[in-house]
Amino acid sequence: MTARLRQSPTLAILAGLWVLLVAGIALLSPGILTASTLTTILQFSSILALVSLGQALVILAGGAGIDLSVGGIVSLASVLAMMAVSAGLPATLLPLACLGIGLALGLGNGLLVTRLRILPLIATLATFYVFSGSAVALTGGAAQSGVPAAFTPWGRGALAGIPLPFLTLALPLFLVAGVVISATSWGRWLVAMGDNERSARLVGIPVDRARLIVYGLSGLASGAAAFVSLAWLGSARPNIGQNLELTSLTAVLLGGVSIFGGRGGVAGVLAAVLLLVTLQTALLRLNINTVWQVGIVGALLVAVLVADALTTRRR
Amino acid sequence: MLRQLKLTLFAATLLATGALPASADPANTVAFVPQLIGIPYFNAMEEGGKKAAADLGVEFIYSGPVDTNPVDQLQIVQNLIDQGVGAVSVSVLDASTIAPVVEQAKAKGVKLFTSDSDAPDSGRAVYVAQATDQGLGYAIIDEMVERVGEEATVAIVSGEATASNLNAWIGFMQERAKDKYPKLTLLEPQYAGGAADRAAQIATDLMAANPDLKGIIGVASTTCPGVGQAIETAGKIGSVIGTGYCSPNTARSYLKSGSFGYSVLWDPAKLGYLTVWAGKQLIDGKPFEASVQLPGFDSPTTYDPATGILLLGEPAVFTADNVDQFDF
Repeated sequence: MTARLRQSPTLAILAGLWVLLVAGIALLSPGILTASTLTTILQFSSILALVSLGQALVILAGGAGIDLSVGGIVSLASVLAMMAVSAGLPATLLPLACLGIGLALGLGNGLLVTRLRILPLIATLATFYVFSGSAVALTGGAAQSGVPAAFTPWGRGALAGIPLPFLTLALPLFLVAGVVISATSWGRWLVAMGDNERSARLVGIPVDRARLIVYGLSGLASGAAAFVSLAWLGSARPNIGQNLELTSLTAVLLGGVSIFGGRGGVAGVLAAVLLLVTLQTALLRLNINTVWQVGIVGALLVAVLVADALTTRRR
Repeated sequence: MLRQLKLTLFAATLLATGALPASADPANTVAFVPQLIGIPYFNAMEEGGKKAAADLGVEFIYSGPVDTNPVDQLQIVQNLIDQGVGAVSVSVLDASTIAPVVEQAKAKGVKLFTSDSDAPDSGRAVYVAQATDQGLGYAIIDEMVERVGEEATVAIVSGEATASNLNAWIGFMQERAKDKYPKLTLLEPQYAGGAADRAAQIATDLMAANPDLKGIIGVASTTCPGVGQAIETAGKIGSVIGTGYCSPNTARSYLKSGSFGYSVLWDPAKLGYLTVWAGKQLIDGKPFEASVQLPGFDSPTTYDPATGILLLGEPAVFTADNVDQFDF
C-alpha cells in the first residue's frame, strides 16, 4: 500500500486533504457529519464524475487531447433526447437516446481531431459553442419538462444512503475504466500513445482509431450524465452542462492525470471529484460566500500541482 | 514526505480561512437563495431580509450561486435542507431547481417556498410575489394620466415583440385605457428589441410623427435609457413625459433631468422583508391572512389561498423626489 501511494503521490495528497477537510468540518461544525450529507455529496458528484471520466480518457490518450465540449454535449443530449420523447419516441428509450446522441456528438469531435487533424483544443472549443448554442437555440432557453415519472425514483433514490445514479452508473463505469486501462491491451495502448505517440505508431498501435473511440467514449459518458440530469431534475435544462468543461478539467488535473497524457489513472479522478464536491458542500454548510469557493478551488489546484511537481522532480 | 505534509497543511489552512461557525439555531432560521449573487437587485432583497430578521428575531441566511447555474442553486438549497434550516425561500431559476428536494424538505419539516420567481405545481408552501402583471399595467397608465390628463396621446416602446411578460403588461395598459380613460389615445406598441439606441430612434420618430404626443412608455428595462435620451436630445423635456418599468439606478439620471416623470417597478428590499416575514410565519405555523399591513409598507400585502400567492402589494413608483432612497 505504502509503495503504491509513493508511486502516485497525488492519490496520497488527495486522501490526506480529504481527511483534513472532514476533520476540519468535524471540529467546526460537527452537526454536518451525517449520512444525509454523504448522500448529498455523492448525488452532486454523479454528473461531474461521469463527465470527468470521459475527460480523463481523452487527456490520458495524449496528442494534446482535451474535450472542451463535454458540457455542451450534456446540455444538447438532454435537450434533444427530451424533445424526441415529446415528439413521440417511446419513453423507455430515453436513456438510449441520451447515450446515442452523446456518442454521436463525441465521435464528431473524434473525426475533427483524427481525420481533419484539427488541434483538439480548437476543435472541441468550436463544438462546445455549436453544442451549447444549439441547445439554447432549440429550446429558446426554456427548460423542457415532462421526463417520464418512471425515471425520477432512480434519479432521486438512494440505497443505503448511496444515490442510485452514483451506485449503479458512475461507480461501475469507473471500475470498468480502471480495469480496462490497467488490465487490457487496448487500455495500455491508450497510455502508451499518450506517453509517446511516435513510438506507439511505430509499434503498430492504431493510434487514430483508438483516439476516435476515446472521443466517442467521452461523448458517451456525457450522454450518461445527461440522462442522470434528466432523471434527477425531472426536466431538460438547455444550460445544464454549464461550467462542466472547466470543473471536469479541474477534477482530472487534480486527480493526477498529466495534461500531456500518458500519466495518471481514473482512481485519482474519482477521488478528486469527491474532494471537490465535499469541499463545496463543506463551504456551503459553513455559510461561506460562494464567491470565495471559486477562489479556494483554484488555490487547491495550484497547491496540488505544485506538490506534484516537487515530488516528481525529487524522484 | 515532510514537504508533502507541509503543502497539505498549507492547502488545508486555505480551506479553513474565513470559516465561520454555523448559525446558532437552525430551526429558527430563514434562508433566501437568489438566482445569483452580486447584483444590485438581489443585494436589495438581502438588505430587506436582514432588516426583517432583526425585527422578527430570526436568523437570516443569504446564499446563492455565482452564476445562474441551476445545479449550483439546487446544491445550495439541498444543503440548507440538510442543515435543517426552518424555512428556505428560493428565487427559482426554474422548477428543476427545487423539484428534486420538495419531498425531502417535507420529510425533514423544512418549509420550502418560492419568492421573486415561482415554480407553480411544485408543492411549494407559498409564493411571495413582487407584483401582478395587472397591477404593473394599470399603475403606469394611472400615473401617466395623473400627469398628462385624460385627453392625451401616449406611445409605447417595448423590447422584444415575443417577450410574454412585456406583452402582458402592454395588454393591461390597453385594458386600463379602454375601461377607465376612454379619451386617452394609446398608440400601437413599437418594438425596439434589446437595444437602447434602437429605442431612442423609435422614440425620436414617434415624437416627430405625433406633435401632440404627451408621453412615452418604455416597457422593457433596456428601452428606458433610449426613451429618456430621445426626449432629452429632442429638447422635449416638460412637454413629453417619459416613463417605463425600470430600476431607480437605470432611471435616475432621466428622472433628475426631467425627461422621465416617474418609473414603475417594485421595491426588492420590501420583497426581501416580506420573504423573511413569510418564512417566520411558516416556522411558527401561523396561517396567512387575506390582508396584512406590515410596518413600513405603503399598501397591505394580500394572500390568495387558491393560488398560494402572497402579493407584495401595489407596485412602487419612483420619482425625482424619492429615487435617491433606492439603490438597485
